[in-house]
Amino acid sequence: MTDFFHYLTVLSSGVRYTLELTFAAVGLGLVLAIPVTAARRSSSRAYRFLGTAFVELLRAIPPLPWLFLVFFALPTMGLTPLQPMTAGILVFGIISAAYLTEIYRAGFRAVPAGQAEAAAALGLGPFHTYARILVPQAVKTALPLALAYFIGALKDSAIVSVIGVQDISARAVAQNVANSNGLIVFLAAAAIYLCLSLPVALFGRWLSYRLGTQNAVRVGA
Amino acid sequence: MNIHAWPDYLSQLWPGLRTSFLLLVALVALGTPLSLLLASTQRSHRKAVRWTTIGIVEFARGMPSLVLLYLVYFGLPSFNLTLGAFTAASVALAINYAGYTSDAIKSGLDAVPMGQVEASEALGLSRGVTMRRVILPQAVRIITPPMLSWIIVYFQTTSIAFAISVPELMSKAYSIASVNFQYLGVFAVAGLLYAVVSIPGSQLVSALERRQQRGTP
Repeated sequence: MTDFFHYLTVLSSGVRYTLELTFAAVGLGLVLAIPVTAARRSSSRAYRFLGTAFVELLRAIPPLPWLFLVFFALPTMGLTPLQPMTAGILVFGIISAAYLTEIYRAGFRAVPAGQAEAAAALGLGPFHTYARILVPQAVKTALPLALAYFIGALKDSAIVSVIGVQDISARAVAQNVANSNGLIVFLAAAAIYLCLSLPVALFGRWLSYRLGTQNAVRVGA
Repeated sequence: MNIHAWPDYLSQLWPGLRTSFLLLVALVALGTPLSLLLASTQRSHRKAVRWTTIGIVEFARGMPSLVLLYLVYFGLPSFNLTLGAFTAASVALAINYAGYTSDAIKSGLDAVPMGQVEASEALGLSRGVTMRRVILPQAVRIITPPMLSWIIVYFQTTSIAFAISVPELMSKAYSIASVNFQYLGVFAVAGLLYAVVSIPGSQLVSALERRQQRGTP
């Protein structure tokens, strides 16, 4: 048991990297997903095709090949090699853009079509229709989904340890090599990941409950 | 980019893809019964059983698949049980898979109307027979599309078995590329192989879902 707590302290030095990578990647994804969502909802067939191709291709290939392509293959094309951390943020940022695009779309789909029609009837332009009418309503559906995605990304990010980011998993692997005490080391790693994801999960549950009730109240009124 | 070498990479990567498939088959074969068990114990009337199950499910999916993989591969030897890399990967991913899919199975079982169970009881069917012959056949229709989606997800997840050197697609790609230095070509072909399986797979799932929504069995 003392071993367990010892490893908890040793491994927690990797928390910084896990969190940094996850926040940066999901942050990048949140922004990148905006133009991709616009493309997927566009009336132009070409934009829609490009948006769909981006989402489908990124979701159909696991993170590891993308990580290897960016980390090992880009330098062979004459580009400056990226730091493992940068490569990880880039790869997970682009992948999360694909997933978040689907989450944004789910949010917009949940807004009744009458809202956009009413906005158009009132003479609102496309910018105001989105900014004032559609987005605030879509957020209710999208936010809990995005939080769930964030937890998934936090766990998926563990794979960057194979290209040398010193995150929780990489520290655990190093401790396992040094002490061959795999059971306790990886249980400690699991406990840290649980501690990181649990608050987000609880917040998400509370949030969707709150948003759900607010919705119900407004519908009832 | 030397695209003419790609067919050559493809034939070299083929055994790796086969191992990925075998791993998928093994993890689904191990994971599905476990998932079914977790789904039914989550529906138990006994609080202790229900909460133990929830604990197991949260443990199975609360940590990264990679950590669970390491835990099984490097942790079990503490119990004098050493598994080969392929077996360890099958077991770890099966536990992970069961954790995620038990919810899908549970909601499928929940969707079968209570009256079906009551009618079976009235006919004097045992609980095992009721499950096998009455509930499951009706639940399977609801469960199939989400389970297929999970299987596609886990086909992609088999790639992390690279970390414990299971000779699957990514390990093969990595060893080929570290000899010929054609990182771009080899990893691009490997990535496309995942896509070639996943994209038709998810289209099949959407087609199934559409068909069910129309109400034709």
